[in-house]
Amino acid sequence: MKAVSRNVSPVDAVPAFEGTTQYMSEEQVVNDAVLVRRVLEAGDGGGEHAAAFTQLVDRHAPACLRFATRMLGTREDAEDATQETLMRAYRALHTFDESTPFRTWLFSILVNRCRTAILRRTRRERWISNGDHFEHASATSSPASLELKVELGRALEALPSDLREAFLLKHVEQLEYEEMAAITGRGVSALKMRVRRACARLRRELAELNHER
Amino acid sequence: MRDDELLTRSIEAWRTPVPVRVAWRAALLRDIAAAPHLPRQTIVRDTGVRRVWMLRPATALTAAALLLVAGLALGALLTRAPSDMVAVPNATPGLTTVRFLIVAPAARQVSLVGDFNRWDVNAHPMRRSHDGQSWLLELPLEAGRHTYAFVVDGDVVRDPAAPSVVDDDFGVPNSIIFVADGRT
Amino acid sequence: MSKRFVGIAVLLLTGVTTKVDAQRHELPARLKLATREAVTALADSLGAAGLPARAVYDKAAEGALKNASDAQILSAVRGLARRLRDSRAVLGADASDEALLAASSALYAGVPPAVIRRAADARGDKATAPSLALTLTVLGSLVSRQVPVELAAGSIEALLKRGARDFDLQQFHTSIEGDIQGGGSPSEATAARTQNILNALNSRRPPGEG
Repeated sequence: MKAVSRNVSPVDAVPAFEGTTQYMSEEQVVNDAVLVRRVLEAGDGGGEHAAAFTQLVDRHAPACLRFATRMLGTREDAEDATQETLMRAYRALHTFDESTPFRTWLFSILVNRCRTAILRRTRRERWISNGDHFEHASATSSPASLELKVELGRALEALPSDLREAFLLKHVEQLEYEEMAAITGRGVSALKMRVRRACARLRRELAELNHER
Repeated sequence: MRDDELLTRSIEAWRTPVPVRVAWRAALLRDIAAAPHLPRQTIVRDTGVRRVWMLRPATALTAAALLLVAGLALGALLTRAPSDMVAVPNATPGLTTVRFLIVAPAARQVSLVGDFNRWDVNAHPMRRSHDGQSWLLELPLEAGRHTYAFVVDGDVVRDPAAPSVVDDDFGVPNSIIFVADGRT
Repeated sequence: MSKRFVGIAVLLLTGVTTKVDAQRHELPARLKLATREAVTALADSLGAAGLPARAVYDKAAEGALKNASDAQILSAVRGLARRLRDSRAVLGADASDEALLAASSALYAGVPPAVIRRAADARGDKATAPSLALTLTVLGSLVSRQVPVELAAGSIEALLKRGARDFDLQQFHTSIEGDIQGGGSPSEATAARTQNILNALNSRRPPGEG
């Protein structure tokens, strides 16, 4: 079910805000819990809660968006999934257990949103030909490298979603297997096997693409 | 290029950050600011100790969406009624006071009905919250399983933030709540 | 001695009769007399069998609130009475009223009696086990959401075996409900959430335990 309140403006061609994904330092892990507490202890009424939650959004939205984009293939789907994730996290913040890293908890919501989106979507061309989800990452890309990036997208798409999910968490988000297990609900051995299989298939896929060029 | 090197280079490309669009971020923060509080059911024991009830809404977003739809679908302009306190019997030993809440800003009248009041729409009228967005009622209940629903301007609606009872004999399923008995 | 017992029995019977009469009057006024009599008769027979007669009055009141016809109300009440008797047959004489009601919901959802029995047995004797009513409510709810019976029952059994408590079972239930509402497959959601909770239960165990 899509969010009821969607006040999404027309797509901007040029992003004015860029987020970068940072490795989570110990300090950030501690600060996440502090931020969560700040949200929960904020005064009644939407304003104070929302303001305190903004910092969590800014810290984690880039990573969520990256994972969702690679997982789902289009910016639109990724933004939908990320928005749903952050809204759900906001709503359910009082259920967050501080003994779990916030990122783990948030990503478990995100992974489920992505799985739901994949189940729900009809078969359509997901990997758009102009590759705009790569465009902003490299504004000076030549048409040839843009094409390569689209092919990279196709290589990911060729993976079954469970392998893609494990691969992205391990190699793109660079999580440890224990955290991945907590996020996905799968065992560590199963995840390791999925990552191995994903890598093997990607090597084959990429090698074919490379030979064709 | 060797296959491993190709994969490594590809991973680097996939690790490239995906920029967060200004418009998307703004819309998200607007939605968060506009979001009503999560419908939560708080246990207030007669000892005065508060804790959050363990039965939590299934999915926050779905709950919010359904509550908003329930509120908006009932038409009527928002009016700010006085927030009269509803007289609730004092908690007695063996009972646990549960707070029921539903977001229905456009409603004129909301009641709580259930197996604890023989589905009597007049038994437990709810009061409007201070911000006018929600309707509230604290009710002492015996430990155990209870089925309930809200009557919003004459329409029986289930609590979108709670699981439904399976037996749906009359078209509108009821919601279910398990009240702790103090063991948990 | 025997006269005292007779006296007490009379007092008790009077109390029961008074209660039933009071309940008869609690039926919604809009019901036709024939409906009220039929509902009361059903309630009386359930009460005599030690089953929760009140549930029948509640069902009738619920139907009246929801503008159901007398025929619909009677049908619902008869169905409930039948399922309560079946639930007693499955769960035994010791089952609480709310367990019986939860079992009757599970029967309504299509859970076979044998599976209800299995779920009840899976709770074991642990003091921390979820209540029978909660266990059966979750089972019935999952099946009503198109989770295959064996998957639903097997998942719940696995959680119970691993020491799940009330909170865990409720979290399991509400999470799956949310996944399904979000468009997820009932089976996949059940499998995934079962694993989630099992992982969480495992992590609660002190190191060294299996």
